[in-house]
Amino acid sequence: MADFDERDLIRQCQKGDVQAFRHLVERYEDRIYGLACSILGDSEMAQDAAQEAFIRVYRALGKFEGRSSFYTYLYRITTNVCLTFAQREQRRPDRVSIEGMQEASDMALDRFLGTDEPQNDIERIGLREEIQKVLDHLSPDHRAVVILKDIEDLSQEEIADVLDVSVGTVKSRLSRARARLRDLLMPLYREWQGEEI
Amino acid sequence: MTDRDKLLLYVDGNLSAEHAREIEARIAEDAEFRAEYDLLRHVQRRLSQRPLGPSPGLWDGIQAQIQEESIWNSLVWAGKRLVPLAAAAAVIFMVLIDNGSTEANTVSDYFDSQTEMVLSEVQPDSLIIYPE
Repeated sequence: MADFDERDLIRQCQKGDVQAFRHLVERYEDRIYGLACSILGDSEMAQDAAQEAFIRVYRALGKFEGRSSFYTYLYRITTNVCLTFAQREQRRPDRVSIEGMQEASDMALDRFLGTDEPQNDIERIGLREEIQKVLDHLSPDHRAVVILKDIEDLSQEEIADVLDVSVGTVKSRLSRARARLRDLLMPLYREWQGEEI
Repeated sequence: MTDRDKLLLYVDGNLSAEHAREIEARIAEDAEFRAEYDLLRHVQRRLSQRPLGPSPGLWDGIQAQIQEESIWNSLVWAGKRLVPLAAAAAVIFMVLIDNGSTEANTVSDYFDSQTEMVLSEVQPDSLIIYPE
């Protein structure tokens, strides 16, 4: 069953086979949860968002005609759900400000620049956290574009499809997000380069 | 657009060939500019290394919600069909009651009219009046 063709699974889901949907969930849940974690930066909220995204996919699967690939479709719904969650979170009065986390995140940024590829689980968890600290400095819209491009490795056309915006908007958001990261990291990068020399 | 802005487009391959050549020339000769380019590439590389954490297991929650929605949908489905059925049954019941009373009226009217007809055809002198 695990090797079932994706289109067969989708067809079975459309006929109401819940077990077929379970196989689709199990196939994509790590990536979808990872995407939600990257956009939201909070594991609990990411779990809720990923679950909500799959439920929406299940409800809408009857209308899925396969014009775009299933994962693009799944990414679109997940990204939309995450951006809605992120907007809701930004409106919360008890939200911790990014400025308040600046000091703690400076260390993470430093490690983000300096460390090599992680060799074990501890280093992998560390790198995940460091990357998250960097991404936290971007607005949700800019964060989503960078994640889809650099982490999920989607083309700019696919990102436009996922976010339902033009390719020009994707390019513009990418450029502004990179400028933000450059301005944030450049002073640390210079220090790090100086130490390397 | 400055070269720094163009560099942001260059790292994503969004610059024309002509402008890309200009930027490549500046990267080669300007150490400060090259540091900026290296940083942007470093960020891209680092993000692409993001390890995927395992999902905490989403199926149980999804399944529970699907089942809940399925029960609710069944109720809605049944409701949508039961309401017209109940309405139809009520109409039929009303019609039957109404027909019953109409029939009853008709029967009593029939006997009344028959009695009147018989009485009208009877000659008064043919009536036998029995003494009390």
